[in-house]
Amino acid sequence: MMKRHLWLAVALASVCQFTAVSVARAEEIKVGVLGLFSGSASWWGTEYRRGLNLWMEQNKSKVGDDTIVLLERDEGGVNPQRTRQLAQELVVRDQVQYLFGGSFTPNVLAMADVVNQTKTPLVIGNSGTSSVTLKSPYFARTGFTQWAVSVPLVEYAAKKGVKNAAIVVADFATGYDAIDAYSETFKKAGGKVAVEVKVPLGTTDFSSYLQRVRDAKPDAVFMFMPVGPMSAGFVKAFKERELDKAGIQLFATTETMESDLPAIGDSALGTITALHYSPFLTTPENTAFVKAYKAKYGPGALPSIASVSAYDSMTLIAQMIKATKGKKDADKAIAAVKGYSWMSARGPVSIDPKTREIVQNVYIRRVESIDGKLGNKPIDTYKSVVEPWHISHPEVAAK
Amino acid sequence: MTQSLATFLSLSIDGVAYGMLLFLISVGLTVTLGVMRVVNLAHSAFAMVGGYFTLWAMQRAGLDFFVALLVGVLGTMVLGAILERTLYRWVYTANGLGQLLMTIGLAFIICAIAKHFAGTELQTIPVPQGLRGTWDFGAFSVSVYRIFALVCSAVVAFGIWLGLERTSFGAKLRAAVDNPRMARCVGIDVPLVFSITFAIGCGLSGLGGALSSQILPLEPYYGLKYLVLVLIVVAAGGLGSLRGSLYAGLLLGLIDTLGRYYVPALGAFMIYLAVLAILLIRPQGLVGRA
Repeated sequence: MMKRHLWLAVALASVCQFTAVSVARAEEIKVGVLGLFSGSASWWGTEYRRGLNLWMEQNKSKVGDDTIVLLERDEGGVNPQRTRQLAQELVVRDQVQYLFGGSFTPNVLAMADVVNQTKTPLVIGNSGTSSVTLKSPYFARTGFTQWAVSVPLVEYAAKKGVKNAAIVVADFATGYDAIDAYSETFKKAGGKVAVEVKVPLGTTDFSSYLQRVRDAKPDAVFMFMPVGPMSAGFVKAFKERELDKAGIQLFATTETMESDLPAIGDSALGTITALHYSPFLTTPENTAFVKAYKAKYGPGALPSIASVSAYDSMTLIAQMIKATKGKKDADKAIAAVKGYSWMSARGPVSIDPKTREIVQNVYIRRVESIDGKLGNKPIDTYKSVVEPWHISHPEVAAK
Repeated sequence: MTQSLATFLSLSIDGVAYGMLLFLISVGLTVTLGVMRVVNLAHSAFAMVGGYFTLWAMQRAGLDFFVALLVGVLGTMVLGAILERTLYRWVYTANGLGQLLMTIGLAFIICAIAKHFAGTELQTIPVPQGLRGTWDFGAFSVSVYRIFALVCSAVVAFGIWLGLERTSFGAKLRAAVDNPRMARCVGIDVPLVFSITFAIGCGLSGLGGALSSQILPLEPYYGLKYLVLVLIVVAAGGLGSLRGSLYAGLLLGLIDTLGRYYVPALGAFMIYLAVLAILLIRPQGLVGRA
């Protein structure tokens, strides 16, 4: 008697479980997240996670009736092979419908084959290299490109009377983009490039490079370094070597992020940068975003370009899910985001239907002391900047 | 003074100062390696620890730069002494490979702990106002801080030489290394001598880590990232030779700094080419052990 009951219970339980699982499966949409969650660049992973989780919390992980599940994988650094393998596992084994991630260009490029062969849309959160979106029709970018922020920066500097400038960049793909963007724009604006300096990745002692800049006697320096030790080190060394007192002005892009400012210290004050976001924007959208971010991650926390782009990527993925009614259809999903526009914490944004790059405001910012802490205060706005590299290089972009 | 000469002079001073800092962060390893024959791959992790201690003494306890520096060095020495009494006991008795594995493992652990407490952001130790900026003499300008670092390192170098060659402790240490049994017979407390030496080595690297944070900023991976630099200086100088480390530090600092300016295409490779050349010509290092 007991035995029969037991059998019945087991059978019933397994049926219940089966139906429960199958019901859940039908509504579950998996998004694979590739981020730098460990290693020396783990700042990116943390910020991605914060942006994603904030969106998930605010939307209760749901788009309509469909529940979104995030599957995180750790790229661990500049590691194209590993990223490719992880993307492949996510798509093939874990059956994710969408991919989000990519902080560094080599890792993003490594995912192109997987994305193309499996037709899985990838929303790229960063990677400053313009040509990246040409590698797959299923790429869309919510981050920014070095070109998009460099052009307004140089135009602003030229407007302020800079005639003769030195360009200092880190020696890698995005650095070359920065050199091209700076020098082409600057020459167009009637400026003269005094010297171009390429600094090897990983350099922390900038004395020789600064000496070269000093010897060239420019009015200004346009710089680009990857976020982290090189950025902070260069800005600090620039001020400590008193190049500013020698009459040279420093213009930068991502180098004075709020996360690095404490390490740079007061020597960052007055540095002019161009970027598509500042946590000190005073729009209602951004005020609400910063408030929500602080409520979730602590009063000292500030959103950054990485958390904002992760958050916006979820908006984009939600749009794709709506358009395909939760079905896997990459072409329909990508078509749905082309030209899609929404109000982001960074201002009004849209996805360029031709390039799948984000069209966004670029803010000219100055490092100031805000409520006793260093921060980037927006002082001027270049509205709705369309990714300029694709426009100025139609012959490459067409290929 | 012409522009190019002024440039050369500025660069040379930068290079010498960089070289002296390289010497400072690697000299502790030279001491432990040369005198105690321990390959301590956790050495640069101690430099990082010294840096963080100094930073925290300034930020959290609000101490003055120079006091904090002292706290940092002493803190690293205490940590070094504790680890020596507990862990390094086993390291001494291990063979070469065992020493490598145990100490690199320790380096990983220290890095993980640093990451836990300090976070992944990079940090530099704020320098007092008086040490900031540059001194300008016409076209020729030098960084005040580099001169300060240079002087500090020179004092330390002289101090170590004096300590090893001219004090009774130095004599005991040399005796303890050359023949521990005999040393014990004449009443030298060999384990104590080793503990003190190891702690001093750690303290020196801590000082180097704190002073050089302007050039090599602090981060949790510091201990692994700059290990190569430290090993290069020790290897090019001749394993365990104090004078060799000084020469190698200076030479590599100069070559690196000048190379980056005059041969920018080779950039950061100059230092490796230089090490390759040195070791090809003198496999024993600049001042090889007899």
